[in-house]
Amino acid sequence: MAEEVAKPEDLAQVDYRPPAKDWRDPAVEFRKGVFCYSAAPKHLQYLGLPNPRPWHPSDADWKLPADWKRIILEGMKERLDRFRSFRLFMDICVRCGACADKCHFYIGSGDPKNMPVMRAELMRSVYRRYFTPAGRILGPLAGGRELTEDVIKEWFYYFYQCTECRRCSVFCPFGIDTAEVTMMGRELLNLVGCNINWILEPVANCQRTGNHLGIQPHAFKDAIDFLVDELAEITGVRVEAPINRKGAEILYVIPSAETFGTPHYYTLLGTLLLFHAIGLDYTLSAYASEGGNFGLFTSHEMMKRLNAKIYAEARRLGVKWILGGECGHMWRVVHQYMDTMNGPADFLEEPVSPVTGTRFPHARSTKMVHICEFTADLIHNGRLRLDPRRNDHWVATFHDSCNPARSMGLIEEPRFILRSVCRRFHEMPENTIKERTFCCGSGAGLGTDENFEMRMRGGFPRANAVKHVRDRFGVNLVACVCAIDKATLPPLLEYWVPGMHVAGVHELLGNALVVEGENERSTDLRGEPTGAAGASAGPQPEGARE
Amino acid sequence: MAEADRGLAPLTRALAARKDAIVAGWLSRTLESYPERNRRFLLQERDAFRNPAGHAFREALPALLDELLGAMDCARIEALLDGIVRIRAVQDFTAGQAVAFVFLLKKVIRDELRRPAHTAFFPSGGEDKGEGEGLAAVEGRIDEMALLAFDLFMRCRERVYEIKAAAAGRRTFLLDRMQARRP
Repeated sequence: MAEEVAKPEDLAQVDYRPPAKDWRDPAVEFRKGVFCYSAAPKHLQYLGLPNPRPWHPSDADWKLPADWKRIILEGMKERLDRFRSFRLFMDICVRCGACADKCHFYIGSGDPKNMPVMRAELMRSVYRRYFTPAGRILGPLAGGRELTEDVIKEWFYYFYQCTECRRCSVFCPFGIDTAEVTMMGRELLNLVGCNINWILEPVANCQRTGNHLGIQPHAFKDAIDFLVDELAEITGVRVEAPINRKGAEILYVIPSAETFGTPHYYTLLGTLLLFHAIGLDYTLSAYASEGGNFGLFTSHEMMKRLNAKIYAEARRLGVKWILGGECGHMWRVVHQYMDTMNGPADFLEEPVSPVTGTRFPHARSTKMVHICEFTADLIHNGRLRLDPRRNDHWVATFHDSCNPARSMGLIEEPRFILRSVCRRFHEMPENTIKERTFCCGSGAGLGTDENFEMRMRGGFPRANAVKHVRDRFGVNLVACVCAIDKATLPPLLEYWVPGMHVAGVHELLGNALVVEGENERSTDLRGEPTGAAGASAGPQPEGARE
Repeated sequence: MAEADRGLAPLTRALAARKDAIVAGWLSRTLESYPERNRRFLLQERDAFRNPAGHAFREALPALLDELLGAMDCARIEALLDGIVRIRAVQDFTAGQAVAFVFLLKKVIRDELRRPAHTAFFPSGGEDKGEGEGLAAVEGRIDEMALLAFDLFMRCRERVYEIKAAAAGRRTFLLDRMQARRP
């Protein structure tokens, strides 16, 4: 018997309008493609974190501990007492809305709960209900919300949809750092075992071997040796890349992705070539083999635990000071927490460039200098021979990575380097760069595969600005100084601005760097033909400089 | 004149004269697919970099209407639709919801034809035979646009999966390279 056929008017029931919803309703739909998967219990066990169990965010039952509500509220109280900033951020927001439309996730998703003020309100409402007299008595009338399991799910959904990029905080007239609210949210979620695998697996690996992928010393050395061989093939110059060398002047800490991923790898090629060119007395460490610190996305305690290796290795190897590579959130940890967490590093010296004699007084306390600061000083003092024509196949722009730009003020140094090594460089629009830079949409541990659509939404404002400079100036390369950017901008741009390339600043420097004894270079560090030969005959590109 | 385009010219002239009102209606209905709190921002923030999605709608919809009432150039329509569909393909929409904005134009046009301003040309608001032919032609064109939007939507979704697969390769870059060079 034939099935009953629906009437045409019943068939066309695609309701394109979202249902009207009160923001206080915590229910969220865990739709595939927009949330991160839960952490495997073995990682929680290894790290000694509470409530290891198999579970999945789309399950109805999250298998929270029986007394989960007490744990969360006590955890909140402890943190309100311990961190004055947290209490302040819970109290002082006047909901002026200055932050509301500044979040890349809000702009890309259109979800009102991604407005920073609203995301913080998810926690503030619970704070009011349980920690303020008005909220205790009046409840919802005083803006309070009951803490329920649905609220925990909502927190999980939205606090793992914030990349802690701090763009909103730039616009807040009170200076509320919404990233810190997210950090507190994640700490509390960790107390009841609601965490994600893409963060906790690297954390567990870092605790064991020092780096995100769990690369052991022999494999780390193998990768570095391979890299040295390749560099010799490309340039004709064989560089030294010492590992764990005691008595070196400088410890160089990289994001580990430079030893296995692309395009990170080429950044390390460029950096090691630079160190060779200036004869730097340095060493890598097979344990401090990762600048990245996913503890920052877990809890203060975990961040401290994972960060400790940097000073420990500096002490063990007897270096004078530390140089750090093109990593993003590492610099938030270094610049804002390392000194007080694991310092004082009084066994180290105030960093001084052995080549130029320049002192780096801003790093007097941490003893750690950013590679871009170091290189910009070399160029400023005329210590490098550069042939920017070797980058003539690139028309570059610079994406300010959130943490170096907003958490340590690294704005001009990478640009100075880029303008010195690349003849065609164009800025993206002013309100999308420098302190106001748009996040790649995948930071703070969200750069995983399963939430790919959410990442595309979050990275849309950045990609939109890249598209603008491609259309206007013919830009074909986005330079950046963050390992997460290098991993996540390529897929982001493949979706939004196909054909765009991504590179580290020191890759471009390595292309342009003239090193004694090198072959005549016909290719860049990627093995691609450079534009050098044709460029000198043709017209000077716009903004060209020698 | 093609059979499908019978009665088209007088109608497109009338609609072209009311283009601003039609675009405004289309934009407002399209934005109804976003949460209420988000609509005002999408509509009012004019900066292309602060509000890229709103900007994309504002740029593409008037140009799409021009094509609808004009040459119907497939390549241009595809490029214009792409600016919108690429965004909606990764937002919280089903396939139908993502491309529904194209069909909304039919309703906007019919509503516009029912306004008093058009009674001189279209006393019945497009219901009579002569008027109906023109309207059917315009709606046929809208259907063509919708089909293109479906194709683009599918292409975007396929891209998402291809890109995800390719990203995995980047993470094992050095291992693959070592394997290739050290047999």
